[in-house]
Parts: sequence; C-alpha cells; structure tokens
Amino acid sequence: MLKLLRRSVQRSATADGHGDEIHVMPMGHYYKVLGALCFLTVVTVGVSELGLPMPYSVIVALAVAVVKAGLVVTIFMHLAFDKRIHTLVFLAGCVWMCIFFTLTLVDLFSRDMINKEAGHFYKFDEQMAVYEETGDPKDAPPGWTIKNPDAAAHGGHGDAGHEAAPAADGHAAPAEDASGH
Amino acid sequence: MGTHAPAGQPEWVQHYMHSAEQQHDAAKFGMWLFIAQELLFFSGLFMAYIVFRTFYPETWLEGADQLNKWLGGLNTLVLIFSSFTMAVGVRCAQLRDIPGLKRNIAITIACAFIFLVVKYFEYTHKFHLGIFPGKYYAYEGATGLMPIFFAIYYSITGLHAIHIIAGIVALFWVYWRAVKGQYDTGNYISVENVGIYWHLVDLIWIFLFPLLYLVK
Repeated sequence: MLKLLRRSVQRSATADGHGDEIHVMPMGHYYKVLGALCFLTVVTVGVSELGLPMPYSVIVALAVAVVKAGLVVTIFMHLAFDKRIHTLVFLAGCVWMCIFFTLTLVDLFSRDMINKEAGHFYKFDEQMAVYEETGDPKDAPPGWTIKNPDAAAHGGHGDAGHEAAPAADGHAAPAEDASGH
Repeated sequence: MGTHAPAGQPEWVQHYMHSAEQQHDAAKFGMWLFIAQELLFFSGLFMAYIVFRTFYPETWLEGADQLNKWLGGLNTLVLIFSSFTMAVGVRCAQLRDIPGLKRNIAITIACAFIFLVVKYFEYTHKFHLGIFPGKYYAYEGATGLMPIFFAIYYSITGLHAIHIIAGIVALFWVYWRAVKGQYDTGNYISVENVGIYWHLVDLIWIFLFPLLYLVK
C-alpha cells in the first residue's frame, strides 16, 4: 500500500526550480488520514465503553494508538517520502525508549525477587494486608485515601484528605519511597 | 548576513552551505534528532506511569473514572484536526500558496487555543473538587493511592500542555514570517520543522488519551 502511495506522490511531484524535487502529496491523502484518525478515535472510545477485561483493553487501546501514530508519522510528518536517515533517527529514538522501558521493568521486578526484605512495595503490601484484616482506616498504608460517599456529591474541598496515619514502624511512607525511584 | 550565498544558489542559502538542498536537509535532520530526544524526554513520565500502574492497578481503575473521557476525546479530535491543518499548511508552503499557508496556520493556532481552554476547564474542575497535585491532594471521592495517579496525570498532561504553548509560539512565528513574505522564495523549511514538532505534540496525545482516560 505504501508503494502505491509513493508512486502516486512521485507522479504529482513538482520541481522546485533548484533541481531538487519536492514531494507534494495530493490533498486526497490528507483527507483520508484525517478521516482514519477520527474514525480510530471513535473506535478507541467505543471499545472502552464495552468494558473489556484488563489485559485486552490495554492491548486494543495501544494497538489503535500505534496505528494512529503510524499514520501521523508516515503521512503527516512525511517520513514515508523522506530521506531514510530521518526514519533511522526516529526508529533509533523508539528503540532506545524500549531499552529504557525493558531494563527498568526488569530491575523493578527482580529487585523484590532478590531482596524481598528490602522491597519497598512489599512494605506497602504488608501494610495493606494489615488494613484489610482490621478494616481500620488508621491501619491503611500512608497515602491511601478512602472513598467518602458524600465527597463526590458535595465536592469536598477545603478539608485535608482522609490521609491514613504514617506507618507504625517509623519508616518512610511507601508512596514517598516509590516516588524516589 | 553580509556574506553572500554560494554561487548559483538563492540568496537565502547561508554562505557555509553548498546548496539549498543541503541547507534544507541539515535543518530537517536536526529537527528529527530533536524529535528523537523528545520521545526519550516523555518516556520518563510514561515509565513512571507503567511502574505505578503495574504496582497499583486498582488505583488506576478508580483514577480513570475521575477523568472526563468526553472532554479528553474532544481534545483528541481537536488536536487531530490541528495536525491535519498543519500538514495542509506545509503543503501550501511547498506550493508557495501563501494565503493558504496563513489560513491553515491560523486554524492550527485556533485549535491549539481550544485544546488549552478545554484543558483549563478539566483542571479547574479537579481543583474545585480538591484534586490538587502532590501533597495538596484533598479529595475523598475515590479510594486508593490517588495522589500518585494525579501526580502522574498532572505531570504528563502539564508537560504536554507546555509543549502546546511552545507550539503556539512557534506557529505565531511562522505566521509572522508568512506575513513578511519570507516564504515567497521557496525557503519553507521552518514551516516543515514547526509542522513536524506540532505532529509530535499530537502523537504524544494519541498515546496519552487512551492510557489516562480510557484504559480500565
């Protein structure tokens, strides 16, 4: 399909007067991409209304987003008709992003596996287990807010949030620990 | 300035360049390097999103309920349309259709302002409920580690909004140059580069919208 597109673009290419040709796309391509992007936005909102279970909802939403991003990058940003070096630079950015995501997640998940005692998130889970057992808001992990049915209706501003008491062992709150990563 | 363009080249070619084509390619290559850098710049916040969502999935489900997906969807359509007018604007610049360029840039700027106005209403609604960033969070309408969810929400959408504002400044600059007649000569690389930047801002929102507003 891209090959077809490129051919039609080259047909409509005009010379600049300096020898190098500019790739001017026919307006039809822009309208088609605009239509496809709007359609996919409606699709992604519609799918979210269906209420798919967790892993599938993320997979569908990200797949739609990747298709939309592909349309923007190849057509609107002209990457499909540009010098290959620009595609290389863009893909290099994507590859480094993936390296960043992968290595960080490997670190985070292996950290607790190797050293369960020191795991910040286990501390949170332990506190959560205590709270679930007693049901007392005072036992909830720091930063954990508890829904107040009146608050949503009245827009309960002004008061401080229903912050749970700090952890009894005097360690820093898990929320603060977590943000330090 | 003061130095002449290389022999046989238009006067807007800098003296240290061999040709108009080389100047055009160098500017565009630099823009793409900047775009790659922007991807990595935003990936830090997306990483924070992935980490906290993985650890506190229930908080994310509650958090997404607090966001208005219709306003988010409206903003998505506004940005997509502005991306379209920007792309058409670049096409006008290629064809040296200056009135068309000015018209499309003006629509793009208008869309950017609509986006910011919608964002303003979203933010003020949350402030009214007591959903402030970080330690000022004071809302009892949801259960979970909501301050973390909203810290990430405000950081990512705030950084994106800063990019929108920077884009508006760049678009006004392009408009001003078009008024001055600086694109009559075929030296339209700055339109193209601002366009690439504007599409990037759209690109980031394409991922932000489902990840923050929709995915449950």
